[in-house]
This record gives sequence, C-alpha cells and structure tokens, in this order.
Amino acid sequence: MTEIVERFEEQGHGAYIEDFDEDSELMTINMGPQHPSTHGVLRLILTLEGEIVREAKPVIGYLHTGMEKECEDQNFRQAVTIVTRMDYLAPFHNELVYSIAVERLLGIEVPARGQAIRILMTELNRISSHLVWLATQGMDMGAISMMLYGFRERELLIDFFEMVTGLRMNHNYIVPGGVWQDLPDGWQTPVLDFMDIFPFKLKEYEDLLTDNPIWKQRTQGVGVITKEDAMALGATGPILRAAGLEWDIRKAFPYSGIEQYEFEVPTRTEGDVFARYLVRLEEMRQSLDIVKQVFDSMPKGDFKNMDPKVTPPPRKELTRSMEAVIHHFKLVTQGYNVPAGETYASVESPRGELGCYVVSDGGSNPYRVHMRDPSFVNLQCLPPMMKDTLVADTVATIASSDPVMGGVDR
Amino acid sequence: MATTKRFPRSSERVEPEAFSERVRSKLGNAAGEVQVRFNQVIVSAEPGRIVDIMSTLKGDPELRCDYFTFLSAVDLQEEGLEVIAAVSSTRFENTVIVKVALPSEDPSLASVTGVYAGANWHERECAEMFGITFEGHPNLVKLYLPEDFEGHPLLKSFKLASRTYKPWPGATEPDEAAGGGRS
Repeated sequence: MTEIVERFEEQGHGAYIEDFDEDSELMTINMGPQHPSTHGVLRLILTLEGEIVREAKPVIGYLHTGMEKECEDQNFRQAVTIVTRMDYLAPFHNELVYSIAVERLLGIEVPARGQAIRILMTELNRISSHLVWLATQGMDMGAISMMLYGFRERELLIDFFEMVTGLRMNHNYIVPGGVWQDLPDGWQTPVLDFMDIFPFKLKEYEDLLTDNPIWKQRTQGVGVITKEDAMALGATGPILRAAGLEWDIRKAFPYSGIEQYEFEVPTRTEGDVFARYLVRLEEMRQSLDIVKQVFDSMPKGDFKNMDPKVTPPPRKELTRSMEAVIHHFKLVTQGYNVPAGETYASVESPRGELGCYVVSDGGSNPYRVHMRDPSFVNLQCLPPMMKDTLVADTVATIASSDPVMGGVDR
Repeated sequence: MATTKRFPRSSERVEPEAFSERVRSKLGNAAGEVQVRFNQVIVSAEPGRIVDIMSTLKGDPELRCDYFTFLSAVDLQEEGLEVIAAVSSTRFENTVIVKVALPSEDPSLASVTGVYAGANWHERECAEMFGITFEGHPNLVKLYLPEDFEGHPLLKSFKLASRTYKPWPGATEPDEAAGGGRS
C-alpha cells in the first residue's frame, strides 16, 4: 500500500491516501480542502472500510482571518463592515444581529419603518441563501439543472439588494439605529415581480425533485441525525427542525417586530437529507409570505433612529446648523461611545441561530465581538451523520448541512 | 408535507424573571449572583462549580436547558479572563448565560463536554484563542490555527502585526517638512 501512496505523491497528487491499515482494511483518505463539493474550504479526513465511512473528521480553519479580533480595532459603526463578511450568504442577518446587540447596549429604539425594512431584507436574504443551498445540493448530487435554476432566481434577489444597498453582497446596510438608507423609489416593482414569479418557481422545483425517484433514493435515509444528538451538539436551523424540534429564534425570541407577522415553522421528524430539503423548501414559502405581509404594511416615517449622537445629521442640515456639523464631525472622526456592558443577541439566519455577543467598555470600539455562527455548530454534526454511511452519501450530507466556511472560520 | 404550528409557540413559556427565580433556587449556593439583563438570565459561577451548574441546568426538570448555545471568553486584562457559556431551554424559551472568572496566569477550567457534547469545538477555539486549558476535554488540539502557531490571538496583549506602530510617511510638524516628508 505504501507503494500506492508513494506513486500518488510522485504524480503530484499529494498524500491523497493518508494511511492504510493492512489488518483491519481501514483506509484514511483526505477530502478537500479544495474539493468542488465542500462548499469552500472544508476538509474531511475520512476513515473508510471499503465503501463505508467509519469515521469522518472535519478540519476547519483554512479561511480563518481573525475577524473577531479585527472588530476590536474598528468603531461600532465600522465593525458592521467586518461582521457582514462572516457568513457571506446571509450578510443581512449578520448585520442585523450585531446591530441589535449594539442597540440594546445603547438603549435606543428603531423606528417602525426601519424594523420593517430589516425584516423585508432578512427574509428575502433567507430565500436567496436557501436558493444557493438548493443549487449546490442539486449540483453535488448530479442535478446540474438545479444549480442553474437556483442561481437564476437568486439573481433577481441579488439585483434587488444591489438596487437598495448598492452592493450585491456584504451590503453594510443594516447599522446600529436602523438602516443606513431608505428604500429607493420604485423598490416595489422588483419585489412585486419576485412575489409573482417565485411561487411558480417553487412549484417547478417541487415538480422536479420531490417525487423524483433518483432524488429520493439519494436523499431519503441519508445523513440521519436524531433529535437528541442534534440538540446535544447544539445544531440549529433546518437540521434541528428536520430532526423534529420546532425551535426557531423568530418564535422563541422575536426580534425587529417579526412577531407582528403570521408565519409557520415547518418541521419533519426523519432527520435525513430529504427532510431538510422539505423543511427548507417550506421555509422559502413562509419567508415569501412574510415578505408579502411586510410589503402590504410597510409603515411610513423614519427609517433610522434620528438621535444625532448615533446617526449623522441629514445632508441639508450641515449647511445651516453648527450643531449638526459638530455632531457630524464627532461621528465621523470618533464614532459614538457605547455604555459599558455586554449582551447576547440572536436571530434566525438561514442556517440556524446566529448569535452575537458584544462587550463594550464604554469606549467607541467594541471591546469584544463574538459571533455564534450556525455553520460552525452544524459542522460538528457531520461525524454522527456520516458514521457508517456510504462514501457516495458524504457529499449529499455536507451539502444538506449547508455550511458557509466564511462563517465557520470567521 | 411538513407539519406546522401557529405563533405563539410554547404554552410553557416562562418569563425571564420567573425563570431566574427557578435558576436561583435550583442552583442554590453553587452559583453566585443571578440577575436578569435584556431578558436573559445571567449567572456568575465559581470555576470549580461549572460542571455542577451545567449539569443542573441541563438535567433539572424545571430548567431543562437542553440546547447548547455557545461558549467563549473575554479578556478583561487586569481582572483576568471571563468564560461565557450560554445554554437555552427550548421548552421554557429562556437563555441562561453562565459567567466564570479566571485568572490571567495559567487559566484552566473543567470541560463541560461531558454535559454538552456541543461544547467540544467551542472549547477548542477558546483554548487556542485565550490559552485556557479545559481539563477533561477529549481532544484539546488547535482548531483554527496551525499546530506550530505561538500565542493566543484574542488576548488583548496579542498585537496584530498590521496594527503595530507604523510611522506616518509624511511630516507631522512644519519644521520637518524641509528635511523629509513625502516627496
């Protein structure tokens, strides 16, 4: 066997086969970190017995850039630009959870319109993130057309995000106090279009996949995790709900006025890849329902807290008010001070409970920012999900846990 | 299709104040101060009692904190380190945050992986970032950082290379302008 390993290395494949035990016939092979199905830079060390995975060990850290440390060097407003880059498929959720934590420490309220815009953006973001999951899950299992469909519909949302925030990703849009800019004129059109189109698209996905025998064979009974295991490991989001626990931060600890809207939390009990697929599909439908309600009831008024100590004054004020100029200068050069204290805020991101622990020492920079990223926790569930399953199913299992390595490694 | 239910979810929801009373009476003298801030129950604990406290939080039928949220730490410099562990009760819909103060010199704490298996990676992250030893952890090796990395990046004493002193390239005083500065 060592000859094979050597030959592999000679041919420049690296140590693909890491170890082979002649007696027990256990082979340890490396998968990733650069593998098309690992969703970024996840590396798995698989111990195989023939076709069966006996042990799977996720190795992470290839994308670790010390973002939490970097936040400590920015002021409270600037740190939004860092946190939005963590889970890059759900940037609005990252910004929202951080902003909620800072607002709690500041003791400020967000006006109704600001809250509604936040819900509108985060729920659309949930759909766009689930679409990427659907696209990649399909692609990893050979349904290349799903990849095209998922990204096609996501593009509509990304265009809307660009229209509102100026950026396709990493928007830096939700900030402590509200959102940094009001919705632009004509924002209704793309949302209305999307609301018209999307139910048909969802139907299309279901027609293609839900009763598809190949899809069912590849997903049913694959990557199973029990409710007890999922809870002990702290798994959240669709993984936990597909395993049977109805736990959604939007219901348990409502934020940004989400309790005003009516929606349901889908659950399944099987805990396999197919159950996660059904849960996510239903979540998209529920999110669309929330978007409809927000769209119909969008309040008028301020979109951010107008306290001049936190929010820069409007542009026209600067030409006639000395006070406004002083506030503006202070905010731009130093930022605002946040009263000393610490708090933990959480929101329901597409991948589960996204939390943010912010500590302030009374200065203008966060003393410590810790993000509790759902992908990080969900990856811990891979070993029990993969144990004693076929090696071909590992790819389906990874995809169904929907990891975003930017969030895992931070 | 998926089964669903309407808001509000749990009829067993307990208000944070009432839940903190339960926590106080169940933990007894194992815990120090118990308070409620921003609708979360905050418990300060002695380092020696952490496993007891976590077991009670998880196992007691009136607390049932069955869901492990996160574990991390804060470097408070002169006041040492503070380890934060958050758990939630999915039944009573409350979050309990346990805080443990540790000294800066040789900080060590009993691992809670025996109670909450999910604490595994959180403790590994905490160990490499703050230099805390979690006794009884099954596999306390580095998680993010390379094996040979020296130092603990999230300690305040660890300075980022990019943030260390970098002289301003231009002149800062009028007198210097003649002698140097940016050309």
